[in-house]
Amino acid sequence: MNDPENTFRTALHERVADQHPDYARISAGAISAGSRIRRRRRITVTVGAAAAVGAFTTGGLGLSQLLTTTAVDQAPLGAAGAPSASASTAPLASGQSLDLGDGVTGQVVTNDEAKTMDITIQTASARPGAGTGFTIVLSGPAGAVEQKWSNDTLLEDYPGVTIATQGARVGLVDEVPVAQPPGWTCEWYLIDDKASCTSEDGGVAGLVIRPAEDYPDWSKSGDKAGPRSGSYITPLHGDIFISVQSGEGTTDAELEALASSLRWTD
Amino acid sequence: MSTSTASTPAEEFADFVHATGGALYRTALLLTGDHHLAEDLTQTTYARVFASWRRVSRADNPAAYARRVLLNGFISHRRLRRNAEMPTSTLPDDPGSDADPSARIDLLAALQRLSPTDRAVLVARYWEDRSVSQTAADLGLTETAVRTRSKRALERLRPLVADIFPERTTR
Repeated sequence: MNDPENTFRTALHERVADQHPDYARISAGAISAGSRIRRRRRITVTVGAAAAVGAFTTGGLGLSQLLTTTAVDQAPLGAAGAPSASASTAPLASGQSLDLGDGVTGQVVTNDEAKTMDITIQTASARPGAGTGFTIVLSGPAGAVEQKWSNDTLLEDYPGVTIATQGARVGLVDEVPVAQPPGWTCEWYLIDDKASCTSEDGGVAGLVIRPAEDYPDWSKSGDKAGPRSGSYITPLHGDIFISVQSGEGTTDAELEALASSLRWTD
Repeated sequence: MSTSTASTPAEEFADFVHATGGALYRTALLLTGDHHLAEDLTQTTYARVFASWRRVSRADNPAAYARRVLLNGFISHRRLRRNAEMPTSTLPDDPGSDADPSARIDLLAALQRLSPTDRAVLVARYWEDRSVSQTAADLGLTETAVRTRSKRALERLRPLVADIFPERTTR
């Protein structure tokens, strides 16, 4: 290991040495979300959904024969260094329908088939495994679907899989909601509800369009927005507001000024 | 993992979070560059750990499991979501070129100018002290890719955080 690598290692450790999370909040949130994952973990895989359901309703198959699995909890963990081993032993196949709980259904298609569908890719596993070459298209209640792709273990259960939701993603707004702030150049990615802004002196900040229902949480939490939090928020505007978040080379005062300078276009 | 004071799985898990959360959060902070995102990533990781806590708690190294869940979660999520990516158009094409010392930026911010995978490689190699082969396994890359990405990423960081690499900037 040469000196630059050692000095870089030291620098990394020094940079974050005094950084600490809110242990209680993370623990409580993880237990809550983890409990929800557990409740939904009972995954029923039906090979050829229509045929299987038909067979079941006529008494031809028992649930246990429909490849019902709680394999995630029962599968051996193996070495701690290799937790990515798929907990699911059921291989994916195009045409499968996965009952993921909470009213969420996952339709399995090949990645080539997915390219022809009106869907939005939400996340994907980079590891090769049982899910390689397949896309699971989620449908069901919006909140449950989001919870499924963002917090569940599908990527661990099916390494290599891509997770998508039905319909092309639509951002919270169709047009840039604020004028170009003075002294800043902002590049918007409306599909992601975000913008990346660069100031004339090279500072960087991020803007995020957020739904009104998140406003109470953001406006009341000094940890989310306000001095020394790294974020400021605009007032509520209709059904959205914008959070302004720090990037490299941007001071707290500049961030607050940027948030204050945002002017709605409608 | 110490369970001397824990009587329920939730209490045991809370102890685990308290014992390992600092390191995991700092890993997340280096990866995301933002303390809100880092806490989100950390909490999501622990949620997945808690969902399998019965098995994880019996593993030889639950902390290693959590670390790998975090790394994979970060890579998987970021691969197709450019949501928090900072512009990289200012990245120097020639990382060995003379850099303007006044342009030096914070290390955390400099890391955000790397691709998520390059960042994860550096964090795994130099923050977590994982070997090339371990990093390759963690991130689903070949060892050659890890070496190449690591070298390239360090080169890209040089002009941004010149004080860390003095031998290249004092010439």
